[in-house]
Amino acid sequence: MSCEEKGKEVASQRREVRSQSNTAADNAGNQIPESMSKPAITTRNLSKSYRLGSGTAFSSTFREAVALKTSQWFGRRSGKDSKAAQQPDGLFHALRDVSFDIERGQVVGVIGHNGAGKSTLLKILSRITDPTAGSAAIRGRVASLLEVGTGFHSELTGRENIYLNGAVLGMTRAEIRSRFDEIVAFSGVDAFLDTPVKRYSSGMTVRLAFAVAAHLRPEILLVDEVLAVGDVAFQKKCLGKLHDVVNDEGRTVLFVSHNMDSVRALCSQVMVLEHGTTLGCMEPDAGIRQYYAVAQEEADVPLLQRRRTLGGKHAPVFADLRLNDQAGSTHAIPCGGELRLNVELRNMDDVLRGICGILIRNEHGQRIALFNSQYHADMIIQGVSATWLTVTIPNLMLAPGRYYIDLAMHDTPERIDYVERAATLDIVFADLFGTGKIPDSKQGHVVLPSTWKMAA
Amino acid sequence: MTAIDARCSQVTAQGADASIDETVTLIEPRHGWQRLDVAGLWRYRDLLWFLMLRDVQVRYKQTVLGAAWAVIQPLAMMAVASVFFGRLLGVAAKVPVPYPIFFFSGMIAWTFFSGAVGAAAMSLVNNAAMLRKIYFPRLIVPVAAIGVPAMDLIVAAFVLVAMMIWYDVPVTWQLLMLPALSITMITASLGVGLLLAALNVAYRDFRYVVPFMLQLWFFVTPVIFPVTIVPQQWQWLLQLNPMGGTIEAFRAAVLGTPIDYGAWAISATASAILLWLGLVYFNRTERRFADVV
Repeated sequence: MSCEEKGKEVASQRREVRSQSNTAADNAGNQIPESMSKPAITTRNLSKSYRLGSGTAFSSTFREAVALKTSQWFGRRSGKDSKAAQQPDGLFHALRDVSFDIERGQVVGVIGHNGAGKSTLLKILSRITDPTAGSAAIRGRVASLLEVGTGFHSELTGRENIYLNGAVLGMTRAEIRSRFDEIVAFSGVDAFLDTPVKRYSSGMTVRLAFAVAAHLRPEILLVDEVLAVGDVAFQKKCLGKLHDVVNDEGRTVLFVSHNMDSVRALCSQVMVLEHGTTLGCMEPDAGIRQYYAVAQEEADVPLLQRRRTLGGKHAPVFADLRLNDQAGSTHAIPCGGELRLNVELRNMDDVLRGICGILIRNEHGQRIALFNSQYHADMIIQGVSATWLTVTIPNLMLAPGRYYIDLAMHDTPERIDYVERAATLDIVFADLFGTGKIPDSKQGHVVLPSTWKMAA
Repeated sequence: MTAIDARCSQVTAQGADASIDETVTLIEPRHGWQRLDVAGLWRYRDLLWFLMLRDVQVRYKQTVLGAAWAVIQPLAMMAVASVFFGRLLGVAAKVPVPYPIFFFSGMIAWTFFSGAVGAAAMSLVNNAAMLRKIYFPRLIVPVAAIGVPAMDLIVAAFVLVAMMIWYDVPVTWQLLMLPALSITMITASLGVGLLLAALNVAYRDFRYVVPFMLQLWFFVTPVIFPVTIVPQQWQWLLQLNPMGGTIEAFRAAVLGTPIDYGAWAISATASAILLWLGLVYFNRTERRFADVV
């Protein structure tokens, strides 16, 4: 059967990858040490690569599998794979020789930009996907939380979902039963326990789902940015709960986050991932400094060459971004001033329903404002290969502070390009009210005009 | 403890310094056949139960007739088949028992098989979100998919009992063969289901192949006709069909007619080989599911 052969072919390709990095591994002398004091998590030369083009190590239909097989037979690559050729080995390396030790009881924040390999690392440690080379050892009962509410079914009631979700997360029926009341109390949805979840508000669903997850009691917890959900009050509660979890003696936590504030608040160590590699664990402050330093370097690379999160399915479309006709990566704009963005698009030939999104985030990665070609102007981009978009924001009433601009292009419904931190925006003080003072970004996100009167 | 036999499975290791037991998970690239992780499957048995429960609970939510649907379909098929095949085509004359109960007893066994294969084949794709976000033994998903057809079979069995009383079918010791027959049917449906589920993850073509394949399969399985209408020298071909000898034996066990143990053994062997093939292919491909699905 041709799919069997395909499997073999992929396997042999992987073996190749493995043997390459094994050579590197042997030089570094890295078998997992069987020493006396064993870290909770040890990795040695952990690597993961995907074949470019299809985004997976697999073809999705027989026709593609057959076509690929045929083209390999004749020693040529099909047109679809031309992008893969840009990489010397035709592989996308999501992780490259990652080695680290995490001691028992440490709370390690994993930070890095989109596409740096954070999620891949977490997926490998969670055993969702296999590494292509290297090894990891985890000592203790592991639970991973890559998403809140995995396995929730909208037709089932809250009660039924607690059991189902608990089982999905690896709890036994007895464990769920014994923690059931706590879970319900924490979620605050006790009145709706026997209502199908499809009638819940999204906030309630998230609260219930987090409550289940928060009552996992593993020795080692792997958490992805699940805290970026729910309302602010609930986020605080979750952070508090995570704090408790973390302060429990001996519990080891690997916490992937974009939010530097929660990393600072929760983590005893930080690991910075950049382009699939890491320097290992370090002090939180040093790690966060390194993270921002890399961001600065990254900012000087032209947009087209900037690293993308998406596995290279579509050619990058964002070629340049200018703010108020200025090139460069960092711009200063007075509060309340005009911001004009010029976005250069390329490789748009095959885009049928192009929608462009411009997102302003603050220093903590929170989304502050979204500008969307469809929402704001009912504009669908199609039938052009390359063009410039001009977006004018007449009064940018953001509080003084540092912001970042992300660019997104959708060929609805699929996202075809995303550039994180395409530009850095410093909003600077302007004496808008003639008082010599305006609120800054620590006091509020936006600055709005207002009139004040006192009763005589 | 070598890395090879502990590969990506949880083993209990003795702590070197403190004499405490702890579980060690080793993660490495895997190649080729992996030992079946029976301990892992056992640890996640509650998940198997809740997934089955979920499917059964969800199946009849917001329906008026609920579980009655499990019997309406085979009953309607029975009515149509009795008229067209039984009367008009004269199959009834070649059957030693009343045709409606002949058909119904075979049909519920077939409905279980086709339902289980269909559900298992789609199970991984339907649970893709879970596969991408959490680890658990992947085998649990297609196995849990058998819950709903099994439930339907149990409901339909009550109707069968009522029909047995109505047609005055004698109660024989052969009814004791039913558990063994059920195991044969589960083996056959899991074998085909696992293979199709794993193939469907990578090649969505199987979404279209499965219903079509089951339709063809139905006509080469003795459900609407007895195996005796096939010339003697060709009957072994029908028995190679994992459901062929099994459905005949199922019907014979229920209706008290002689069971052809030889035919059943051939079908059971074919089922076992299919299950082995299914497990091997599933085992070799499951590590890629999260990347591909």
